[in-house]
Amino acid sequence: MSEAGTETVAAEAGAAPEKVTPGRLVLRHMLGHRATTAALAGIVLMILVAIFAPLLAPYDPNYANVLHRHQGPSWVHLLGADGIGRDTLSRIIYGTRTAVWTSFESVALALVVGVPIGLLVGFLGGWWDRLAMRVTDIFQSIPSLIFAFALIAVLGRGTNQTALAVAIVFAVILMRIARALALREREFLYVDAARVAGMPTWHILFREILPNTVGPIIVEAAIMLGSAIMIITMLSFLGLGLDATVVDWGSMLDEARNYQATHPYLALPPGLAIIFAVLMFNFAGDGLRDALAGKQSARRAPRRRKKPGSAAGAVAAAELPAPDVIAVRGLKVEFPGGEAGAKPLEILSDVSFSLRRGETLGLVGESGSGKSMSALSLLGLVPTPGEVTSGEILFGGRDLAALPEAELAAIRGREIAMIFQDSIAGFSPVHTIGEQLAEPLRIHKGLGEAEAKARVVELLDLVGVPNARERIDDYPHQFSGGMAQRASIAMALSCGPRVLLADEPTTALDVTIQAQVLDLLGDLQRRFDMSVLLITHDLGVVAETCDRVVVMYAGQIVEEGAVADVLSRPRHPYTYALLTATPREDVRMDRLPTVPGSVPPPWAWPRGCRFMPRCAFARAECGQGPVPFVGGTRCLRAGELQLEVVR
Amino acid sequence: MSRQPLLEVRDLVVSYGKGSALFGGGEPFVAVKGVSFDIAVGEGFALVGESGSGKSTIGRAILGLVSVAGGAISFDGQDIAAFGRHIPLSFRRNVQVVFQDPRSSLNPRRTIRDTIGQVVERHFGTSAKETEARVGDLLAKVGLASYFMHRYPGELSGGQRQRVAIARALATEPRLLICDEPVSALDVSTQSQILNLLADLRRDLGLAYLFISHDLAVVRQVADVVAVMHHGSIVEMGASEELYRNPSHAYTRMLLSSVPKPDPEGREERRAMRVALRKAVNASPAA
Repeated sequence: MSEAGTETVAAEAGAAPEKVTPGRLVLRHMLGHRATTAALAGIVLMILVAIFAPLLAPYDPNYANVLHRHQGPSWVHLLGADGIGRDTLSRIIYGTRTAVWTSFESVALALVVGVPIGLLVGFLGGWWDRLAMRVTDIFQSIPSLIFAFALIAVLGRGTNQTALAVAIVFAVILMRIARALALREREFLYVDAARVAGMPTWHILFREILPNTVGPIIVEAAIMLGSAIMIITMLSFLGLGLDATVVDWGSMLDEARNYQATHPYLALPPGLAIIFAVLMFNFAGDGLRDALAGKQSARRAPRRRKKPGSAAGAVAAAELPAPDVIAVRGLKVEFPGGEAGAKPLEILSDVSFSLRRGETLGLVGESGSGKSMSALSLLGLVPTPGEVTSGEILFGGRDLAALPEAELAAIRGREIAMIFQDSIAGFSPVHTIGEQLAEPLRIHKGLGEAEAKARVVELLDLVGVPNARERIDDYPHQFSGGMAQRASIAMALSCGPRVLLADEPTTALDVTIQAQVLDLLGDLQRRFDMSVLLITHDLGVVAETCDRVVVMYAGQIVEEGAVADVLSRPRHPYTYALLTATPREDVRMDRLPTVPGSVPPPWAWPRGCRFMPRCAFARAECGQGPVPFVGGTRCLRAGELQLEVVR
Repeated sequence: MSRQPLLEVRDLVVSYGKGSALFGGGEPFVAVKGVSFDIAVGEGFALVGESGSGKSTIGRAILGLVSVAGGAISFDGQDIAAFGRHIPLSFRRNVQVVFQDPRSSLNPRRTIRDTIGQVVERHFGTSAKETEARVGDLLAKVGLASYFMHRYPGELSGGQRQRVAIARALATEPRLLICDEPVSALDVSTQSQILNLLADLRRDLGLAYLFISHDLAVVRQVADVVAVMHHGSIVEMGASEELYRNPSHAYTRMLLSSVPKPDPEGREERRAMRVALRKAVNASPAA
């Protein structure tokens, strides 16, 4: 166990520094939104009014002073008095108590009944699930108000009876939601792990699955609180539901109806109270939903980059040395820091490389190295809120880093095409592969329908999709992973791009399919004299396919050179460490060489050499300041180290 | 090593009922077609194959996560299929699992202490204080400091999460550990740390492993015996060194030739061989 022990310290290096519980994060998101904050305050106010009604109400809500009948607002009756002289303000205050109590009671009851049943049937599946779903179908085909009428007719009027009627309607809805959530969560391996550990079913349901489903359930419950108030006041207004001794907004409205012609003002206070309560719960529910969604990472979206002033550079952008198709110079990408006023996080620092005509360049690194970010920035696809803050990307006499979105859009797909790891996700599931491949041909190349179709068949043939003529009518889900990647390559090639960016194109594929797709990419690259930028974490893939390679670590390029040189005589200790740590199928080693620790997150990048904490060859001077990129590597000791890879 | 196998799998058949239209209109899809193998005490056994070969399904069948359509699985002489839906804790104690993706296999809403501690409590009925001490020991075994128990999975790196998943599996003191692609979601530099850790644990605790992996390079480092799966059947099985040096089945040869090597020298020859083997496999009706 000693070895494992020595790795302890290093393994901790990558730990996140900040401790934020999920709950606190959601609250922070919610309070950041003004409407939600106001809604939460409104709900707290209603609850306080409900609790302290006897202290707040100036009169007994049932005390009728006949002399004050139909009095308008005055200092005696702030909101006036009703048809038999009861104080409207006091009745609104006591009505708040009724509304809050009945809505919370019905929703709580619905939660207690609906959620566990939903979780259970979703988790068990099979017959249980089918039975429960048929029952809910029957329930949901009965209009809920009529169902409530029927139930109250049987049980009689009363606060609890009404709450029960509403609760049953809501319980069915919550059951459906809980079931759907359980079906989703059940697919996660933590549920399997709990089963394998021998945890009982109730434990898996309530301790494992439930905590992961509370978010959507609470959102729904918050909105239901509003709906409950609506339904219950509606029932009272119709003279059903709550019994006559209870003060509530619905019956106030009903009474106001009797004097509508002579005293229309009477309907105003209860009406406004109902609107206020329902709105508060709905806003709070929506805010909660947004706050929960806010935790998910930002979507990838095209974005304006670089400071506007530099746009002039787009025209002036310069002459490239002859063999270069794309030259990236001093590229820096930053994301805003987490807290307001925090320093921006530098995700890419001084990235410079060039892609030559007709070559395959490997961009290699582990997760968090910045390799994908580099590729995305070439096409102006840095995910928000990140931005390119300096540097240039020269391509065909233009600086892509300063080009407006419209011009970039014209380059994407036509001059520079891209393929991704998850190729099926790149296709729309509702259109056939043929339609989707034909579209860019019709739009960009102006081909007619028949011409486009013939060209699509040709392209699919080219990338080795068998029976291309029949398969163009297939939908993406009918393609296997390897075939989908071939189709996405066909799509990328359709407009004859000069450059192909391939971001981990074979990572999701089986090893035999990977070999086929890589061989295909090599063939096509030679045939069309394309330049390919291949982003990968696999040095084996680099060795099999690339001419040159750029190695990235923690947002910097640490080494660059011809594949034959870099992979046999690496000059940077990180490249060397990666090479020796990569297991090989042709050798068995008793102990794999390891690199201690893991790639640190951007906020923990060292000031000096970023690999220093994990480097076996580090010296004190390595930590003193940023290490320059000299002679194809970013290592102070490059001159003295002899890093031969033994095979 | 004892002669008596720890795990015996005989003619195992697993099928998924009412397959989609893709698999021929309601016909059940047979994922595992009569597979047999043994794992001895302390042995490292690997199932390799591509996605859809049925290798993961075998692991799930042994864990009782999918139902078995035919054949027998016995652990320590005890038939697992006889348990039905309710698998006794004694079996759960002996056979544990480490899944591929520690992001999904650890509950994001629970602390590491809860995730590991609940397993300890379930199997050993420990008090809160004892549980905490055990969780600390388990974390130490996988090379993590004890303060990690107060963290959530989201606060850990991929390698640290996988260490936690291993610690959870060790919590029951199992004799067989099923590792379903234990390192394929990890970066290269972290991957070798985890593989070394698994090797150390095997040596120190006398664990037997069932490795399930598509990665032939990784499997070579950890397995004593390797079975190659293709379309639900084992096409070749043998001692690891022998199989890698002298693959006899055409599919195994193609599989091995498809693994990219981090050595640019000779890549053109490798490529030519790969293409030839591919043709050979496609031509043979068996594959």
